[in-house]
Amino acid sequence: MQEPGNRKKRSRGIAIVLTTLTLSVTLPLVGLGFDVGTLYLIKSKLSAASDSAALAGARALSEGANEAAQETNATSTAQSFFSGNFPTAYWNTTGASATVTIDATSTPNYRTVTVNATVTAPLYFLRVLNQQNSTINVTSQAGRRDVMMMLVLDRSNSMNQIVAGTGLSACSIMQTDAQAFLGYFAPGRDEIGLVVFGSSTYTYPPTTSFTTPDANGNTIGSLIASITCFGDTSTAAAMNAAYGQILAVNSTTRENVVTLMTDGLPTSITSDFVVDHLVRSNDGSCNPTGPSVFGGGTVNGNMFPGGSLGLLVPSQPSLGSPDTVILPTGNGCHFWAPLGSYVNMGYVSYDIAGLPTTDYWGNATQGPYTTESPAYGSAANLNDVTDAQGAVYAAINAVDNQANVIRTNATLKPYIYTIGLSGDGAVDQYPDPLLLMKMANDPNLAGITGAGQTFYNQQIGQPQGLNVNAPDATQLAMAFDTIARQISIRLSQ
Amino acid sequence: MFRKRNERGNVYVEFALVASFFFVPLILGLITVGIAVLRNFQVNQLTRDVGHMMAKGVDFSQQSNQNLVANDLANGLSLQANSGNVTGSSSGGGVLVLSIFRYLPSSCGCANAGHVVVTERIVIGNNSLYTTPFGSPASINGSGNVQNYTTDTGARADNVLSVISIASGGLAYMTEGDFSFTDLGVVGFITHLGAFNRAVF
Repeated sequence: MQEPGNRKKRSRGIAIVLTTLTLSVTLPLVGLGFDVGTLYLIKSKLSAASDSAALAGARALSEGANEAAQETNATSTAQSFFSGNFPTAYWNTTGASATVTIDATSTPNYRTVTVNATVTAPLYFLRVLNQQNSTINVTSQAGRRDVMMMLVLDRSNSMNQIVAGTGLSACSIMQTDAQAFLGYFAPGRDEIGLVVFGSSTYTYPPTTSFTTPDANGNTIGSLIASITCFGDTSTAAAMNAAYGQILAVNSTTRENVVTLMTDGLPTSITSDFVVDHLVRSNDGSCNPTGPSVFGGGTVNGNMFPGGSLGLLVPSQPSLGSPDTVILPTGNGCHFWAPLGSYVNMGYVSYDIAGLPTTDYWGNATQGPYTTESPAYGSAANLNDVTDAQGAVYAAINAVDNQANVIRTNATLKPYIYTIGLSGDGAVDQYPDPLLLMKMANDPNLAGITGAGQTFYNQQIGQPQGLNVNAPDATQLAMAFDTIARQISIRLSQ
Repeated sequence: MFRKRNERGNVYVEFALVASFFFVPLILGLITVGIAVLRNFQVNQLTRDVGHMMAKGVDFSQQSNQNLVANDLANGLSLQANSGNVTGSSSGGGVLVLSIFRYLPSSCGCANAGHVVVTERIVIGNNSLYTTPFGSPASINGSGNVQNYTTDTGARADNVLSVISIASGGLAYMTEGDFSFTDLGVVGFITHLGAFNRAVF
């Protein structure tokens, strides 16, 4: 039997013992929790910084005049983004560093940026176990795919309008902005080609040396600088020329892209016309057997003064001459409207039997775009050449169908980006945003009730590009910049 | 006998006193700080994820994407999704400011050539909590696109270069998150808990 006095003595101070015992368990647990929690927080931050560095480094591979400069830029950008996302002495860490490695050869047309990040994190409570600190390592990887891009520029006559407040023509502003756009691509890796179109097209094949003068002393930038704006808007011919280059390169390892800038509705189609006579609108001897361009206008059924009325070969050997006066004797036909007056379409209707059901490349001219779009609501009238609006409808349908052919190439998977420039030319010839969105398969089609949603649903699964509207030429720089950013996002993943 | 019976339980009383003045505040403080650390971690993760998604092309001007951020990624942080806008509101306990910056090259031929400009800005949540110091553009459209960023001097954000180095022509995607944890705190001891984080991709 225990004596009460002894128990009382033993009870004295037992709370202190209990507290001490509890603390001896609690404090290490708290300490372990604190140290491990801190390490977890630091690792999370380090991982975010490493991811950011890899992605920014991959994006920066487009910056630089050659591959070496691009890789130097990528390395310095990656390290800068790492430092920017992982503050010095974050939670008392030391020795934060990122090692950047670039692999440009393992995968064709794809460069990877690998970031190995490391930092030393202090331990506080675990020091009782003689652990002063802990080293944390993380690895991140991102890459940039090379692009094969055809830049398609509209040089139609309407581009000559002077833009208010600038003293410059839309053509001149476009030249400056398109050249700046080239700066967002990687010489030596990306292949860039050029198509310039009015009534006819001029094509410069894609090359990785797009900033280096060729045998004739031309670069793509210098060619853009030499553009004179003239003629109709043969958008389908231009898109076909761009697609032809994509097919010729036939790269499944690059991202294939067509970027179109246009300031108006398509107004011309290229086809084998049925020629009844070569009398009234032909200004010389010609051979009508080749593919030809028919240009339509929309002003009271008449062609514009000096417009490219009639037939001419669809491609241009150079940008140096106005694109309607190009025919060597006996090769194709050239029909010319006298300058200074409207010429009745009856001149052409006498010579041409009607509009064809397909253009030269097999794109349907009667529909379906103009029958589905609320802005048009009917098929092209192919039987009456004097109906200039019918020619525009045919041209619209041809370019829509050409874009459809491009997007549905399941092997090359080309993306189409479009820029619609309004504000110059006749209001009824401004670009149709819905047509350009459909051509690009812009995901924003889904938000347009009616025809937009119909087009969106019809084109699900096809490559999705983007359309950007430029309300006037001063907005072109931003439009090109937006497209460059979107392409950059697609290339750098 | 009476005194002995009184002394029984003294141990528990003393322990309870020690617990009241030491363990209970300690545990409450640990819980509070623990939750705050967890939320801090969540804010870090949130800004990282949103920045990463933005850099990969996710459009946060879309209401559905804002809802995804507010209701899922920021679950428990009291971030209110906008109602069909890109400028935020005055409610909720947090805000996210999303910005895209471009270093306009000299070849731009525009007024802002050679400057870093903000090209897109979307604010999600309580815009009274935080104002970003990086550019103050005159006009932003409903999709978050800064209007006239090639010419608007207010769109210039050269101070971004103090955070990150961007090469000429380069891009940066920034997410800033500021959150106030007004529901947390131990009266008189721990107040004004919150978290701020910035992620740049």
